[in-house]
Amino acid sequence: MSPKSKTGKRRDPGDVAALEPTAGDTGAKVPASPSKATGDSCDPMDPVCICDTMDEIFTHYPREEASLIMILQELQDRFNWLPDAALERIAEELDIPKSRILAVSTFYKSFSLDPRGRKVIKVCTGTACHVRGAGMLLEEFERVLDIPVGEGMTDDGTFSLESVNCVGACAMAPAVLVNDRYYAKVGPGNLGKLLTKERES
Amino acid sequence: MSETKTVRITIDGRSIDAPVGQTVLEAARQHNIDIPSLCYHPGVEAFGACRLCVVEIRKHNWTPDWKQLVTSCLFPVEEGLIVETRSPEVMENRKVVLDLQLARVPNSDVIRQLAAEYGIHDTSYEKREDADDCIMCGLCVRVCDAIGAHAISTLSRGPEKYVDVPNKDACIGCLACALTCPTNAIEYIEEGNMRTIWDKTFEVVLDPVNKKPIATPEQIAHFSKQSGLPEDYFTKSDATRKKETAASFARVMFD
Repeated sequence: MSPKSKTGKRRDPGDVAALEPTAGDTGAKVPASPSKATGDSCDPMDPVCICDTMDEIFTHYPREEASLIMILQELQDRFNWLPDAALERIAEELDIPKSRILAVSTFYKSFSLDPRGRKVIKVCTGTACHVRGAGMLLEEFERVLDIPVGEGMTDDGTFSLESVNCVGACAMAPAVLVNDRYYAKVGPGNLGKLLTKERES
Repeated sequence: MSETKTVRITIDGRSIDAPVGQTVLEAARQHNIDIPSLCYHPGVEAFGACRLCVVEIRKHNWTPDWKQLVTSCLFPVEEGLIVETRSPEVMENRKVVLDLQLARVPNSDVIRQLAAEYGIHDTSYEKREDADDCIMCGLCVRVCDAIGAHAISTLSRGPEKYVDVPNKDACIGCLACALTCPTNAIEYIEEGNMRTIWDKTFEVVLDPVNKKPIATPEQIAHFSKQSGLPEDYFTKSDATRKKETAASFARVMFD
């Protein structure tokens, strides 16, 4: 989980500062993951849809074992999780046993084998955020969203909740990342505002 | 046989000629020098996971006070290598490894016995709760891959890492994992013509003569495909096959 966006412009500490993702956060300019839109509109449960998306992903990488992680990353980017059917397809195309693909995809925390919400809320629990009450914030998120950390998603499929170790934005502590958007100085007080904003966008 | 190049190494003061490409562990075992190991199996690639086969090495061009601890299962022999398998540092290292293993698998007889040989009767660390007997050496994964079933893998990482069969369809019920497991951590049940392993139950083909379980149909199909031999080659025990061959010879000889 590498922080690509560093601290942005200084904001009023009382305000929920939404720092727009800086360059490199989305694949918009990177040819490797050209269209998030395809992923968003693609239903991972629909086999035909998965096939089309996978066909496209496979055109970006050589068909060899070394491409595995890159393919998994793009898949994770598109769907927010790794559907089983897609893993089967990767096993077939790259000629790697599925057991090894699962070993890799369970090894890295950035891959999820279960469906996740449209928006993944990552609460930073690094040292600076921890000192500034990230633990309490995480509990509050759990309570408000009514989902446990690292598991499942809200009933409407909007949010999943995760804790991460450090997003490299310690000056903004406690920091929260929603997909690629950074929020600074989040606390139980402005958490509702954050969720409303994210629900609408 | 073609000439293989050999190198001269010294293990515990004994001078040994070892073929190039052999590891220190292989060379030692070939000359009946005991180095303990858990995750090593001659049939698969060495992995260096159990850390029990550590030995101390020195090279002829090193200054006398230089030495290094290496895993003998991975370290290749080279000309003039000096190996100590039971130096104080090595023994101390193995003790720590066994102490840690004992904390991980406190119920394993194999580990308990091995630790006792090194004078460790109880772990000095906190014992793992609800411990199974798996030491995470990954031998089952390597054996399963070598067989070509690719059913077993290690999942997750760190303290939560575990061994499982994520793809039950791939398991052919050959028991290779269970039989090679150094701590017998993989359980299986064999009753009559039924065999259960990794929560999957197989029907087992019995030997036509002595009715002993031979192999699962999945296993037979897999081995037949891999070897190009007909399936019925794998449906009999060695003893039965020998008897059949003898009988057919007898027919040829005496008819």
